Amino acid sequence: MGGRSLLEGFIYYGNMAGITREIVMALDPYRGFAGEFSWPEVEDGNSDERAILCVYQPPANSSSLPISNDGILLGTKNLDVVLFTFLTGTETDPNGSATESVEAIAITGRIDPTMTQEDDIGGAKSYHSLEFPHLRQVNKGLDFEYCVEEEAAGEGATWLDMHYTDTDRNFAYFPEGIANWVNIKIKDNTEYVDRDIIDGFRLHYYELFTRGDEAT
Amino acid sequence: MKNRLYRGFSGIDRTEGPIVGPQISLLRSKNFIMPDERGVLRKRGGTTKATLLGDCWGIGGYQADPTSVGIPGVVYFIAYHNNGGTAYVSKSIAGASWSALSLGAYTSFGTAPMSFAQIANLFAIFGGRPAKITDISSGGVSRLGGGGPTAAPTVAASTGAGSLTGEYSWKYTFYDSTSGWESSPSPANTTLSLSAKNGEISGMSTTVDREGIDKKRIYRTQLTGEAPWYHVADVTLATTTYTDSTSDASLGAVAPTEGDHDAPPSSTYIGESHEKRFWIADGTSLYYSKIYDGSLYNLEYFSADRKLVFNQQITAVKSAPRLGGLLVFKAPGYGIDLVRGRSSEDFEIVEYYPSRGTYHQQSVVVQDDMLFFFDKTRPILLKNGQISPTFSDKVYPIISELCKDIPSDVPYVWALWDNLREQFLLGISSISASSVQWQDATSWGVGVSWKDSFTTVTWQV
Repeated sequence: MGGRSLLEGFIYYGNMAGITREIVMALDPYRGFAGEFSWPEVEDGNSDERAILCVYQPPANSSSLPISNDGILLGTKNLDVVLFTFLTGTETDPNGSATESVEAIAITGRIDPTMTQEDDIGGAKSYHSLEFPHLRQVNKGLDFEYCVEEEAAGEGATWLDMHYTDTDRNFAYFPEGIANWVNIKIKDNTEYVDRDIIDGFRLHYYELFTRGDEAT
Repeated sequence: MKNRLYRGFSGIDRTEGPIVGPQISLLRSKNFIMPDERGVLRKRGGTTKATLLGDCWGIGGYQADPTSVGIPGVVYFIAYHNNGGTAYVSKSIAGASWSALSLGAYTSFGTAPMSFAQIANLFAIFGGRPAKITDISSGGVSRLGGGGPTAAPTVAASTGAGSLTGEYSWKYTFYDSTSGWESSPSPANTTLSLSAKNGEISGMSTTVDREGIDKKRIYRTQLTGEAPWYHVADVTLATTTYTDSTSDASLGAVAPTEGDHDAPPSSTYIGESHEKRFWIADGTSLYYSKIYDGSLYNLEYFSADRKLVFNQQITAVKSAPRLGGLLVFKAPGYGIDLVRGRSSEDFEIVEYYPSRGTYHQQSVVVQDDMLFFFDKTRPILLKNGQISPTFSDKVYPIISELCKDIPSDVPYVWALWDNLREQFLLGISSISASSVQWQDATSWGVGVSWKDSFTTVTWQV
C-alpha cells in the first residue's frame, strides 16, 4: 500500500531488554500530524536506554534567553545532559566530538499527475524532471531521491538519486523515470537557517498511453 | 511534455493512492517542520547540550520578580535529576551551565516524572515529598509544610505559690520566626485544675522534620478550660520546659485550629497551582492549601477539612480557568472532572468529559480553549469540550497503530504547546524490560523482530 504508515516500524519490537522506543511528534490542531523529530543522542530503537523524560519551554518574555533563541529544554535519561533544541540560531547537532547538521527528510506520497485519489493506477508515464518554482532549490543544498511503484515508507524501497546539472540548478532529473507513479524523498543536511526550505515543485512528464490502451 | 504544479505540502497523510495537485501529501516528515498553513517545509533548529548528571525527571521555570519597570523578570530553569541514587535540584540561567541547590535535610525525592507550580515567590516541587524554593538567588530547597508536635505537653501544678486559679489546658506548636510558618498545634493536655499555682510545662519535643524551625509557641485556655487556646509565649526549639504564670488578660492571639496547618501528602508527583492555592493529589483525594493572601506560609497549610474526594484515583490535575476551573484526570476510561468555584465554601466537582483520562500528568496541556492530553493509546484534543474532528480524521489513524501496544510499565509521555510554531509537541518513550515483549499490531500476541521502517535495520529476537 502506498500509504503505509510512516511509523509502522515503531510497532514491531522484539523482547530485547534495554531497547528504547522514542518518538517526538508535532501535532497541529488544525492540520493534524505535522512531523516527527529525532536527535542523534536519543534515537528511536537505541540500545542505550536513552530517552527524553521531560520538556520545558520558557515563557517568550523571559529575559533568560535572547529573543532569537526561543528554545525548548529536554530532560534526558541515561545521557547526563539536558538538550536545548529549536534554537533559531545557527547551532548544529553535536554528535560525538564532531558537529553535524541536522538531517531532515520528507517523503511524499504517491505522485501521479494523471489520476485522482479515488481512481486506480493511471498507467505508465515517463517522469522527466522536477522544476522548482523558486530558484536554486538544489543550490540550497537539498538532495532529491525517488522510487517507483514501491511502498515508499516501508522496508525494502529502492531509492534512486536524481540528477542535477551545473547550469540548471532549479531542476532535478529522473534518470530512469518509466513508472506508474513515483515517490520523492527530500533530504536536507545543511546548516540551519531561519527560512522556508521548499514549498513544492512542477513535475514534468510524458504520458505514454491513452487510458484504456496498453501501456507502452 | 506535460507538467503539473504542486504548490504546497498538506502534511502527513496515510491515504493511499495517487496525489492530485495542487498539494503534495507526505508519508514522512522527519525534522522538517510545517510551521503554518502555507504548506512549506522548514527545518527544525539545531541542538546544543549542557551537562546535567543523571536522569532528569522534571524541568520547570522559576519566575523571578522584575528588577526594572518594563524589563521581564529572569526565569531560572529548575531541573530535578537523580544520579545513581543521589538527588539533585539544579538551576540555570539560559541553560548553558547548571549549579546544584542545597537540599534541606527533610527533603526526599523519588525517580518519576514530576510536576512543578509557582505562586508568588514560592516554587513548589512535587516529586516525592513536596518541596519548595523561596529564594532562588541564594536559597536552597526545603520541605513544603511540616508536621506539628504529636504528643500533648506535660503540665503540673507548681510546688510553690503561683498566679493561676481555674481550669486550664495547654498546647504548643513549632514555629519559624523568619518565615512566619507555624505548625498545627499539639494535642491538648488533660485539663488541669489550679488554685493559686503556676503551670509547670515539660516534655515539649525538640525535634521537628522541617527546616527553619527555631521556636515553639505555647498556648493556653482561659480559666474556664474551654477553647480557644491563646498565646502564652515563644520559647526556643531546644527548650523543653516552661513556667506559665500569665494572667488571662495578658494572653495573646488564638492558636491555629487543630489540624489546620498540617503537612501536605507525604509522597506525590501530582500538584498544581490554581486560584492562588496549591492542589496536591493523593490517591482519590485532592488536597488544597490555604489561599495566598500575601503570606507565603499559607501555601504550606493543608488540612483534612480542605480536600475533595473523587471516585477513582487521580492521575493528573491541570488549572484551566478558561475551561471553567481545575481539571482533575482519572485513568483512561474513568473520565475527567472539573472543580469549579473560588473558595472552600463553593468548590464543587462536576463531570467535564466522561470515559477519557490519562496516566501521564506531563502530557496534559491547556492552551486557550483547547485541552490536549494522552489517553491510553492516543492523544486527545478537545476544543471547547468536544473532540477535535481534525484529530479524529488526520491524527488517530496514525497514532492508534503507533501506540496500540505500548507497554504500560515504563512509558514516558510528555507534551507542550510550542509557542513559536503554534503546535503541540508530544513525546513518547518506552524502555523495554526483558520480560516485556511488544506485540505485532497485526498479529496479536505474536512477538516479532524489531525493524525500523526507514532504515530497515532489523534486530532479531
